[in-house]
Amino acid sequence: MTRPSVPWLETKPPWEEPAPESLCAEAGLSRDGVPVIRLLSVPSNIPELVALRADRFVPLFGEGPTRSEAVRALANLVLGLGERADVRGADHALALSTHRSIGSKPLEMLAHAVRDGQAPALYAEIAIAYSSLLGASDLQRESIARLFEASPDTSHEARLAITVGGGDYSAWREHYESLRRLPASPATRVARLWFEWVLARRFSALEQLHAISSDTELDPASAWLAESAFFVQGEDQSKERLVSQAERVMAPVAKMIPRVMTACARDLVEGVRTPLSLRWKHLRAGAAKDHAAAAIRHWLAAATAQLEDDEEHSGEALSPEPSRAATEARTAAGEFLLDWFVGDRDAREDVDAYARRIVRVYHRLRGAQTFARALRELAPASPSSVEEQLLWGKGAQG
Amino acid sequence: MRPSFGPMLGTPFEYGVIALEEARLTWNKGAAPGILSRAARAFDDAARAGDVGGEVGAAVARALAGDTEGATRRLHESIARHPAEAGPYVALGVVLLRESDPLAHANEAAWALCAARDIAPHVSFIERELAAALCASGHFMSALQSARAALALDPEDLDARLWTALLRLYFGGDSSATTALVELAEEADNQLRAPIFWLGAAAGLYARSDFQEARIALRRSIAPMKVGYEPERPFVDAARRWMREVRGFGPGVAMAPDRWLRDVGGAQSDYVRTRSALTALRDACAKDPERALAEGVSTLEVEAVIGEMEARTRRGMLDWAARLLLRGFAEAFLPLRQYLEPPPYEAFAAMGLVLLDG
Repeated sequence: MTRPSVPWLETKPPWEEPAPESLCAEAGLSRDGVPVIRLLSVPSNIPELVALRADRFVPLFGEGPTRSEAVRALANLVLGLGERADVRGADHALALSTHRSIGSKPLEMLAHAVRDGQAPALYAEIAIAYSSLLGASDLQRESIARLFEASPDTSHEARLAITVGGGDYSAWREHYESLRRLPASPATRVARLWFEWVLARRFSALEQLHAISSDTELDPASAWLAESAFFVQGEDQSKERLVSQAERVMAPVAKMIPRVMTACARDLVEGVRTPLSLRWKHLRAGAAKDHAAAAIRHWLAAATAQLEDDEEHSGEALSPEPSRAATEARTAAGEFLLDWFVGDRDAREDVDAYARRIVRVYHRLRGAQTFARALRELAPASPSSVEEQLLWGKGAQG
Repeated sequence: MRPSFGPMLGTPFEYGVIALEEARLTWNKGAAPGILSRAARAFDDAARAGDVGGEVGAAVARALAGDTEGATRRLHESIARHPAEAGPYVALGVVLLRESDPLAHANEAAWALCAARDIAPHVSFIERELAAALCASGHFMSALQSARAALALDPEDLDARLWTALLRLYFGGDSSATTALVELAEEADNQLRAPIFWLGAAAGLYARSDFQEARIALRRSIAPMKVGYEPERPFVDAARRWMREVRGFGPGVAMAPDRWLRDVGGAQSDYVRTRSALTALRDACAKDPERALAEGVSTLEVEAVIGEMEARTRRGMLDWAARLLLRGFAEAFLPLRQYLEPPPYEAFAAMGLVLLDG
């Protein structure tokens, strides 16, 4: 593969700009005492925090779409989420995603390189997994994933990162609309059906989820997402299955990034600690829907079935389109039947909170899958750099 | 400017009123353009003299001649100049309901007629037209109140009785209203009103499963239309389309015990399955009350939600039925009425377009 040239490395890289004097003075440091961060420290120190605030860090893939940058990204994950990581290690690692002066250009360059075959798709997936594992917000995860949406090799993972979300701004419905337009794959189908059952309270989606879970080989994160839908219904042993499946997905990376386990466990415990209550709230939200709206479809379908009788007066058949009143009623009924914002606000908010936690864990699990694959595929014959030693050498324990 | 009319014929306003009345009396699927033009010019002269009645009459004459857009604009200007006069508001409501697409203008018509009612309360015509406008705009409870108010003022008012009966049938789920609808059509025939009342009768007959009679009633309602005459086709099609939707809705009323569960989707519907799941949850809570209590779930609350869901869905059926069939009726009935019938005398009286003795 040809290594693309990196424009911002041809002159002085932006992260080598000196830190502002006021910032240094505030922290009691000289300007020379602020390092350029390539890898996070464990634990963090004052000069590193100043460096992060002063933009003296090499962002994700800042040195080009190369293997060493992919390895550096994985190493920063280990440093941010490792056993001895700083309390705010995840935040610091997330801060390395983009640089203020060059924005998302390094990731755009990675996306171009992946599309042109100059870099493997795995690097792009590492970039997406980076934000997912660190628990980025919907917006941040989406802004990274959006860059990789156009490339056929990375579009699937990117689209899942973009569309499976909506909890941060109660934009479930908008995310669902995007999800519906995605090309069908088992993972996107599971996500769509999960939205329909958990958030739109449609029983038909639950049945389809059961069918797809038993008939299709799902990736572990999708299988876990489907299980979280069964948990809402109050299925026996579902709680245990949720925990054990999450553990299985995390197992290959648990020792390297244990803080992800902790974060997932926290969300899971919060989500599943009162199954009966969750089921009750979900059913309450379901009961608050306008079920009568379904009748409009029934009546209009029955009206359409009687087209052949419409030969009154002139003997001519009446065109099949409904009246304006019927069209408007059907449109309104469609809105009501897909109502995410049911009147029972307490119940809806509790279900939404569960959904938010599940979505967060889901993205972490997808990230863990990618992380484990990257560890396998990028493993060197003999670790040489600091990052490699951290990942595959004796420093792999974090 | 010299007035167009001499003192022998009275004032321009009087001349306009006489011309408008002539147009009303000679109405045959519309008025002669010459008469309406005469009325419009006479009212224009009256308006130039500062008569608000002249402004209203000029707009109404133009609306009856087909220029509803110009009439609406004139009436808005008139309302801006004379906000305390009921006439322009009534005229605006009437003109908007005579549009070919009344549903699109129903909200504005309802607003105008509400304003007219505030200025001139206890006028039967305003109340009944308001009922029609509110029905077309989907405010069924207010429509029922207006129709009832019109009936209180004039128990013989056919239009008010028609809207009341339709609202009772589709919005109230009262199947006894079917009889009223059928009787009303026969009475309208006796009063030489246009046959459009048979459209309401068709609904009543279909609701009580007299399917053949309903078909005949529909034919009677569109009988004045010429077969194959293209300009009249939209009226006929609208009536037939509405009847098709009545057939899709089926006989009976929306919340009748034998049909409402089927209509919301039967055994596989979200309604039925949510209810079953709630029942199962209630049983689970009854089996393990301590756990239910710990998780904040109470059997009584579950039962309350089941009851509430059923009540809301039953009520919702009526709302949706009204949305489909009452608005659909307004969509078919109002254009047909404005085509076959001129505005009634009470309409002109409510607009102030009448001559007072003495």
